[in-house]
Amino acid sequence: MEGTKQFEELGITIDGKVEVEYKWAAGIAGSRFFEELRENARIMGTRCPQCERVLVPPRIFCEECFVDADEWVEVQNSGEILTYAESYFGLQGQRLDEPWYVGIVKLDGADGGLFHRLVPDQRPVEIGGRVEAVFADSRKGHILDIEHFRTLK
Amino acid sequence: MTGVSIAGVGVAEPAEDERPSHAELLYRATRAALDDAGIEREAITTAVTSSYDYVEGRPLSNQFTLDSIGGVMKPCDLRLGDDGLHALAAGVSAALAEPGAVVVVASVQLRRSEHSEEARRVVQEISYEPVWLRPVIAGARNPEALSFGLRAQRYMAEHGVSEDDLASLVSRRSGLGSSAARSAEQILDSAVVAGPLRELHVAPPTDVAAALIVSTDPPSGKARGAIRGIGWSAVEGMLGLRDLGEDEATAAAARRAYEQAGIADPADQVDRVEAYNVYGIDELQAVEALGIASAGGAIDAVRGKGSPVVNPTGAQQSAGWARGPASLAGTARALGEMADGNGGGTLVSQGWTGCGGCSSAVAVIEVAA
Amino acid sequence: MSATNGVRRVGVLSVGMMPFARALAEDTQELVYRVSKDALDRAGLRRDDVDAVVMGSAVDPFNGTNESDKFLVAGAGGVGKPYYRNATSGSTAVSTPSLAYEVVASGLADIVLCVCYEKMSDNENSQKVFNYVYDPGFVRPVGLNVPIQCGLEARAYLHRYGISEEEMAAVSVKNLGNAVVNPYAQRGREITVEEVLESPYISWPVKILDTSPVSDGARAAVFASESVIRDLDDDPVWVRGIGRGADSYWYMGRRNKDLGRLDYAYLGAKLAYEMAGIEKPAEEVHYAEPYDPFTYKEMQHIEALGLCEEGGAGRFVQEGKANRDGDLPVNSSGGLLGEGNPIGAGMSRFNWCWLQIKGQAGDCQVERDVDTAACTGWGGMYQYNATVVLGRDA
Repeated sequence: MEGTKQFEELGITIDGKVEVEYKWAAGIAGSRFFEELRENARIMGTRCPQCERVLVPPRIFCEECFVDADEWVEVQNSGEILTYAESYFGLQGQRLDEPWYVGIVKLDGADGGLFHRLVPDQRPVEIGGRVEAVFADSRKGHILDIEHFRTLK
Repeated sequence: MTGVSIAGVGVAEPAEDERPSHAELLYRATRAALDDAGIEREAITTAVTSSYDYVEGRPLSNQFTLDSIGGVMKPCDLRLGDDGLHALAAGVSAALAEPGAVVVVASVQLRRSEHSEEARRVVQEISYEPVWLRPVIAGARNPEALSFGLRAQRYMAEHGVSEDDLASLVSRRSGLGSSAARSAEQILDSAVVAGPLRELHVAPPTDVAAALIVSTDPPSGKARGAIRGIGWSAVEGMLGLRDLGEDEATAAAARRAYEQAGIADPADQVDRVEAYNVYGIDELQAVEALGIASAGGAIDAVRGKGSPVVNPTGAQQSAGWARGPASLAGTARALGEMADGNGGGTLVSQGWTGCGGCSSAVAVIEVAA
Repeated sequence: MSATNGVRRVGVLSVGMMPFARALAEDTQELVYRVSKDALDRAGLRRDDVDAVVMGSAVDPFNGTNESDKFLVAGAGGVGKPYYRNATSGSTAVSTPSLAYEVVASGLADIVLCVCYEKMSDNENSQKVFNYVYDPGFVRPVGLNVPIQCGLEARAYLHRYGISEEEMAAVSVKNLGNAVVNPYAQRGREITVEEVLESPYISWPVKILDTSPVSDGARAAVFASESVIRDLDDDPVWVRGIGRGADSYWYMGRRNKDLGRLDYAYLGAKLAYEMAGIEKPAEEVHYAEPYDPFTYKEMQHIEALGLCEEGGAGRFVQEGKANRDGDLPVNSSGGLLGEGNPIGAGMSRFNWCWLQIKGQAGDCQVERDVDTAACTGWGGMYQYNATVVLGRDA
């Protein structure tokens, strides 16, 4: 059915592991965004001077107008679920009884939003549902300074 | 003549006090190229980028470039896992396959700031084929230098070129920058990493982004240069299966480029050469493969002040090296330097990629005054 | 059909095939050699006849080798020739043929060998490799993998158009069943809608039997200029149109934020049809091989190709129109679902379009006449599309 023989029967294999460490720059825009999460527990975007969209995640340029976008604007912590997915497997591959959710949240006041974890609090997780960010008490300048978005009525 | 012109160029490097992401640096280079070409994003038809997943640290690394090259909701997806000059060759195809199309050719890499020395080492090590080659060199301090060391041993023995000669050459090239400057003594004092190559023969890493805009019909009516010819060629990647005494990939690429350009005597008809010199030896072999010097004659040809001038601003030994954008940045800068009131002229730009530099691209560009 | 823009016409002389499998004994160069030799043999050409080689493979990290393609140049007969390698994620499968087309159309080469390969069995866990695809700052730490990525998109698609899981299952039944008689397929099997619906979820609504299998394999094709084609082939198949589309990396802020509709796929199809002079694809396209790494992707691509109304692909398949004996057969080879999905070698979609037009599809040959066929590739973080339309002279 799926393939024929096991790997070992097919011929000699040479074992190896490739581990490369990186330090990817969050960038000028990303750095400010994560600093604001850490210091002020607020979500910031950049506004394009031409089309006036507020970009989240923030970028130093608008990809439509292709000009610098360097005005920083605070956006709301609340938004709407565009889509979501549930998983019954944990991040170490373990089976879970209760699923965890991730989804794409369009943030109020921004043309954009975040991919993040969703927790059914006041309502089940559903497309079009309203959510708000829950910030971690201890933050370090990282996307998980937002712990998750919880559902609202 | 290919019929394709370079309408604009842009190069971007991070300022001293900032750390842009690679998408941000690529945007700046592309924005500069669009400004140079006198166009906005609307005018862009298509694009070809150059990037290497392992160097970027992201499989499918092309995804990260689309917005930065002005490509949103456009057919700007093509990406070669070869260097920027190979991408330029694909860009020329795209421009000729759709006359009038405005094609962005771009690359970015933060080789200095996103990688530790160990990361750079590992990426070089995994550029070796894993079953036959990699076990032989696993753990080597500078795996890529080993393949160029093989080339250097061969070449230097065959043509009586000394270690002093090579160190002097690299020093001259490096001395034209500031932070990269190394004296011949310093080079010869440094540790051997791939005899005869030493640690300080190796060009330093850098962070850079570059973009070229090409078209059969430059939108603003004027061009930075005309691409008279472009050739590219690969030889066998397996080190045991090819002759390392000559740079055959560059020779084959150059033949095609010169044929298109109508150049029969490059030593006579070319004004400036920009050839990769990451390990020093690559410049010598490339210059011969480009027909600028005869076999063994490169060490003298590159010393002279005559024509053509070779790597006058030091190429990667001075500017630093980032796989992907280096050849595009070098070409863009050379275009600027040759114009700028210097009368233009015929530029030959060469770059390599692959294990031991097994694939080369060569562009012949008539630079506008 | 005359060339657009005065650019010379390009045709496809032959294709190179080999069976896909979960794991093959061949190393990547051997895979490449098999299909390169097959394509050249079928075209009656030798290695020296080829002017340039265009290689495609999506993911070096599957092989743990940077520029893994440089060690198989010889397998494609490329030593000493113009050679480069394209990698545009999953759409590599069809963007690479479009790049090979450009090299011939440009006049820089008359005969180009296009080869795509992927050996996913070189690594222990392709999922782990895929997990590094995602943005390191904004996405990966939250936790994303391919199943979840598909759950997000598939849910949006079903929600937008009111589509059922039964409709998705119909695609799986069709494609796995079609693959039974495909000699190159890894997973040909007669299954039922119930079996698909009962298979475990990887992320709702996507189930194991909605998902194409990991695979090793390669494909090749010989592209040539009009004068070469006319010398060698009395029933030429032309590249009538190519089109590609790509949307913003920041999908949260796209003009169209609904992952259910692939605006960039509609764009790729539109550009290909414009070039081909096709205005009514549902009538003028006779056969299609859309990219189907998952059942719902085949559906989205059938719609983006304009073969039925938006949201209607599931019903289209359920009604039998896409069957081998249907009005507009789709993936009669079995697609990726039935044949296997060695990412770059999804070029198989392109190859089967050629085989169907030529009448050389063997037991997979559809009942109706096929003069014009379309294929698509897709990839990235919901980002990339490539569309190619092949056809014989009207």
